[in-house]
Amino acid sequence: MALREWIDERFPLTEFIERHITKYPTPKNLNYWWNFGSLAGAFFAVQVITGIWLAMYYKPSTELAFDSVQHIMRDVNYGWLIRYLHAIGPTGFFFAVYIHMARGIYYGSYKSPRELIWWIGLAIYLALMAEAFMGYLLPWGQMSFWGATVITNLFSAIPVIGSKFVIWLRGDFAVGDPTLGRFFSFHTTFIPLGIIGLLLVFHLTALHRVGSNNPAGIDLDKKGPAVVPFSPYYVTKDLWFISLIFTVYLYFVFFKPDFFLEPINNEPANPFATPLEIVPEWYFLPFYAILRSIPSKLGGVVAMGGAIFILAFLPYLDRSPVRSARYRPIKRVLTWLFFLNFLVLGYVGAHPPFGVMVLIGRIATFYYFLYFLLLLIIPAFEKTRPLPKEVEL
Amino acid sequence: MEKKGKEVSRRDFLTVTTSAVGAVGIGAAAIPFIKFMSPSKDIIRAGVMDVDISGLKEGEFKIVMWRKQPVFLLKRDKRMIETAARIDPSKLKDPASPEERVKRPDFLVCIGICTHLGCIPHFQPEKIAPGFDLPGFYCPCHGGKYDTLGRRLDGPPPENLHLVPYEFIDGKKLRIGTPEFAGFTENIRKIQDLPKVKV
Amino acid sequence: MKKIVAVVALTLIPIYAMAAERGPIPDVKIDVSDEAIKRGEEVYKKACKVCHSMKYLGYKASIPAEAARKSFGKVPPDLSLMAKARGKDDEGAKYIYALLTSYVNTPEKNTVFPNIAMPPPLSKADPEFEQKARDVAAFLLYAAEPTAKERERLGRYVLAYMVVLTALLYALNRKVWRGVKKKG
Repeated sequence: MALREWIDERFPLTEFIERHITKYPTPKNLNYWWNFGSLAGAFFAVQVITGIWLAMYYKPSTELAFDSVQHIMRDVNYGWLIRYLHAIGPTGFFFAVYIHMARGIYYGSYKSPRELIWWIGLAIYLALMAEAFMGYLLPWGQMSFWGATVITNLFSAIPVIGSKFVIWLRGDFAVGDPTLGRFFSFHTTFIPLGIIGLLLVFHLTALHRVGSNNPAGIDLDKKGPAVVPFSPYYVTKDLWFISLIFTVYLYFVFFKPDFFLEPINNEPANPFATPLEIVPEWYFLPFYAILRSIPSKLGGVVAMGGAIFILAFLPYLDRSPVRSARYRPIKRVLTWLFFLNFLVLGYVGAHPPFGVMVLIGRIATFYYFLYFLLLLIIPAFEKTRPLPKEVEL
Repeated sequence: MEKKGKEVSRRDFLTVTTSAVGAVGIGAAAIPFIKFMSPSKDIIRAGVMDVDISGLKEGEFKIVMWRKQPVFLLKRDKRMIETAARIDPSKLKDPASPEERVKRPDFLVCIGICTHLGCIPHFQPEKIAPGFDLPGFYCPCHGGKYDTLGRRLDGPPPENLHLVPYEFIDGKKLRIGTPEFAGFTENIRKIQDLPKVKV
Repeated sequence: MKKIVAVVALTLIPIYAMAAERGPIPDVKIDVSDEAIKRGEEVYKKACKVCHSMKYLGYKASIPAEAARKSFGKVPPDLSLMAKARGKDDEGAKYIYALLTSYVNTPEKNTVFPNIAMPPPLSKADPEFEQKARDVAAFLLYAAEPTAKERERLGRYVLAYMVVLTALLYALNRKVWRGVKKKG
């Protein structure tokens, strides 16, 4: 094609497409746990598009925000659809991201030479949490207001400058109009496009430099029989799985939109009355449980931050030469326990911190951190199973 | 070899079908995003407006805003009706008889946007401009002149002032517009061509 | 295929775990037919509108907010979104029904909402007492999300389409992978 040639002389279009899509060599033995990265990408696309559309009618001011959301829900054509897609999308996004991360942990995808992919991924996860948190303030409901109040107050635990920092962060002496304005600005421009979008490009660039890990966790010859080109094999596999999960997602959007939304957020923000229970969105619950398990303000904040940052040290904590937990009997058990423990933390986070919940929360918090210590120790005595020479579908 | 050929054609059929179904889905998914950007229901609802006209005196002129567009209300007095009736419709650039311009001879309702370049003409109760010794509308931008029926008499405007659907309700109220009627861009200049207003 | 089922099942566990925890809801069927909603709107206008506005439907309270504050100690809340603010799906409507029918002649005044500031808006002596409570609950549910019916109607088409698309993509994927050697 003449046009293609004209462009290729000036811009490496064909080269780019072949290198990153059509001819990109991919291990043929990837199982379905490898589908969640592209799934997260699909949810990101939905969030960006619906977000751009919502911003056309949303008004970031404490006087108008709540009304403008109701205007979108009631009067704007298909406003209810775009808003529900955007409000329920994060559930799918975090669902995909958590499983994507769990897969990385289980199959040792953070190990050399993929440390940088892992770290960039963690940075995306952090940015995603900030993005979700700031976005949650925008509807200006009761839970929006009090969630933002509580979370911004976490920073007051920082010694010496803490309380001044919180005032700076809010731009006022309580969460108010300036807070809403800056959260809207960050939520709609800098974080999604400047940080998450950019890091996503880095994440994929780093991945395409070293290639995908695989369930066997062994290095593969990129020209050998163990790999297949990304297209059509993983194009169809990714697409059908995205379609499957989107069917579930759309079921919730059309038939159970309330399921993941907090009823009390249908009341406009009222700085004079705190709701009886403040529960974060489900994807923050495990960390919320860790925060509450430490009976000290600073300690809780440090533990919660530490629970995320400790993931960055995985490549150095886990020194075993074997990547995949398939061939590491002890890591395998500990890791499944770690995942189960994470769900327990989520369960604890969803309940008021009384009685037995406190105890369960503390034990689960303890195991969360113990897991990383155990990863450091076990290679000394763990008998790994022999690694295969070739991969199997 | 033959079996392989069949295999390939089957895949092709499936590829084509799936791509077609997928393309239809993407097309359908675009609809809500496109409609999202067209006027919302509250704006559509605002297209029907009631105005109290019971206080309007003979010869009195009033502008009301409807759909962000100025609508002229003119209670026409005897002189206005007579001077306009003297004009021969066939001599006009945009021919129209008084019956085609107003529902009631004593009341003009039209969109106050000059058909030349979109300014709002001024109401001149004595004479439109030097040389035009009858009441009407004068557009200061480029000298467009209209009579009290909004008919173009002189100047650069290509056509008469556009009309808007309206209905009198028990003589005191005037209902302007319909949910669908866009206003100026509809370019309707004869009463008979206007859609009906629900009363 | 077994593996896919396992992946989906495992990943949905947290969702079901969350679905299991819900507070007790009164066992009443809220009829959301157009007639019930219409009747409920009349009940609202007669019994509730005196004090409660519904701003997103254009209803203003008949008495000024300050007068209500003097009488009851607080400004009666706007009811536009009340059904959705008190529970998911139709739980909020059931709650409203329960609240309206749970006034008692004891100091706590109401068994569902003890020490409520609002005097009983519906009279128990009214032969249509329960019907009216149900209807007004249905109306408030409708008012909280007037587009709900449109949503469910469109949703049926969308889901049917998604099932077809998923099946096609699944078949295509199987076809694509058929020729790939097991080992290598």
